[in-house]
Amino acid sequence: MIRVASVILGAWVALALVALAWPDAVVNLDQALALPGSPHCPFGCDALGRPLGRLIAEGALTALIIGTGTVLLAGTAGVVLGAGAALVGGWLEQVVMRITDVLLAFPGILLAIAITAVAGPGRMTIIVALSITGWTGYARLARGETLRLRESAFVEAARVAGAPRAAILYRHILPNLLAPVTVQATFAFAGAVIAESSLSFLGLGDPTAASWGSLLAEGVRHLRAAPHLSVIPGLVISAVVLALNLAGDALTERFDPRRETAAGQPG
Amino acid sequence: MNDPVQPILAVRNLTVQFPLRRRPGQPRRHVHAVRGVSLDIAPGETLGLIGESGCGKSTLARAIVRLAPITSGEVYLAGNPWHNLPERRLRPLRPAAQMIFQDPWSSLNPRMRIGRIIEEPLIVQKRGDRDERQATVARVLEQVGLHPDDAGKYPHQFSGGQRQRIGIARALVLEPQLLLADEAVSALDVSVQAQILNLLADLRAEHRFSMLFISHDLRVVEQVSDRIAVMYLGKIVELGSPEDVLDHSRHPYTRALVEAVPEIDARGRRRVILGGEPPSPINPPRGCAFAGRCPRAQDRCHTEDAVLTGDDHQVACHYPLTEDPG
Repeated sequence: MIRVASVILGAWVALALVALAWPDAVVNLDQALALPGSPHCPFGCDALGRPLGRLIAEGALTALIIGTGTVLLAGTAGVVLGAGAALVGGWLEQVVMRITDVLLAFPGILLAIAITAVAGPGRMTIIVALSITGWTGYARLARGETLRLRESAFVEAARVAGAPRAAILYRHILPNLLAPVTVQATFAFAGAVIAESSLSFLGLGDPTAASWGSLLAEGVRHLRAAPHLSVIPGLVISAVVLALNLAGDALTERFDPRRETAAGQPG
Repeated sequence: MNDPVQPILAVRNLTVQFPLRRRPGQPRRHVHAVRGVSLDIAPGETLGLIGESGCGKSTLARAIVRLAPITSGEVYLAGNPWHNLPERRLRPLRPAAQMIFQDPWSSLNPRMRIGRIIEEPLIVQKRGDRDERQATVARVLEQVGLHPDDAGKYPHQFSGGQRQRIGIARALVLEPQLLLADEAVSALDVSVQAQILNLLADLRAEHRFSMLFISHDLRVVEQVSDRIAVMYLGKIVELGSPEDVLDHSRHPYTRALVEAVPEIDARGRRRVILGGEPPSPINPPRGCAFAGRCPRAQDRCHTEDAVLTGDDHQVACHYPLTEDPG
């Protein structure tokens, strides 16, 4: 399964890179709604005669940028706030964790819709909007893990040796947070791709760039004449999200300490 | 204690209390984990500390190295006060007292190589340059019976006994005067226990450190200790040489502990049956903490706490067992 996931994710990144080099799609009304297999566009054309393959590639780039941006922004903020809350404690911990509770209780996509509606559509807006709710998952994870690690005997041993707090954070806590946060980030990446598609499906995406969600929305209008316009973007979204979730499962297994023990017996 | 030699460790009337969450309308309550413990450890001496789980023996050790907060009382290491130093000033003194932990699986950072784990205390204490530190690591690895090449491996590549050796190497690398071993062999198989105990004995002979050896296992404590302290609900109830404490127990609790060990059952001529559980450390009784379970308890025991008295063989009991019972 992890092979399938790697191939899909690799194709996704390759497609995004292709989009960077590919000249802008040209409107060609002669080819409007052309079916797949036509000479001008092998994957069919949209209502303006632009090749669908070109648009999907552009959508791949959009999804990759927004997914990566969201994971980096939300992940950094979440880990810093969660680990910081656990280490500092007191009122800071209370405030951070109560905000987390409130945001987790709130439907994230609704908040993102509200934010993009107010701030105006654009890639940066979507990244920020998705991160505002997305950091909470990382924060919870990082806080829990940090609390556990802080009490662990190897951290106590470091304290008895006289290690200052910063050294404990840097040498003992962060390296041990890396594995669970990476797993969380992979699943969150899938969530960000879906969220980005949903926002652009609703017309709240970046209007200057094609997105899988906006292609899907566009295709729905021509469902009978040109079903490929909605089916292909839909399949692409499903494949990418499935691949990310498979990768997340594989990483969970990879980082399982019991597995490490079994794999690394002395001898 | 009229010992002419200055003790490595001197603990004076140490108490550790952990605050509990306050309930509305009630005063804040505390867990009284350690309730006024005083003890000395002489240079090169091993003091064994026994008691059932929850009696505060781990907390005592953790308070000595300042992992647990000291509520009141004093701790002196080689004559220097430790109990009131801020962490910043404590840091350069910390090498003097190092600790071995119970669980060899959680006491080593799984993402660090062995060499790095043992080197870390040296880095923290800014000892030597990189080459010198690695030479020290290689030397200490050999001392604990591992190979210098093991420095490049990760903890999960080792067995429990080997991991405990690594933990010992980490504690020894700073050349401590006092080693606190908190249930250091309890998580190991009996055969591996013996290996680790022998290793500790060899290392002691070579490095001449003092040791506070904590265990709930009488046989293990008897094997390594020069003196033994028995702890019950946060207090030391009996203290003396292994023969005094185990063969001529004066505290009824010690007697019950000794008789609970099948192999040395022959020592007890009358069997003391202990009922019940230790009282709650949240609300310790006014009198002797053991009175509620004690077969010899009188009215006085329930109202007045017994103080540790005696010279070489000390006991905290109003009605101690006579030297040679029946």
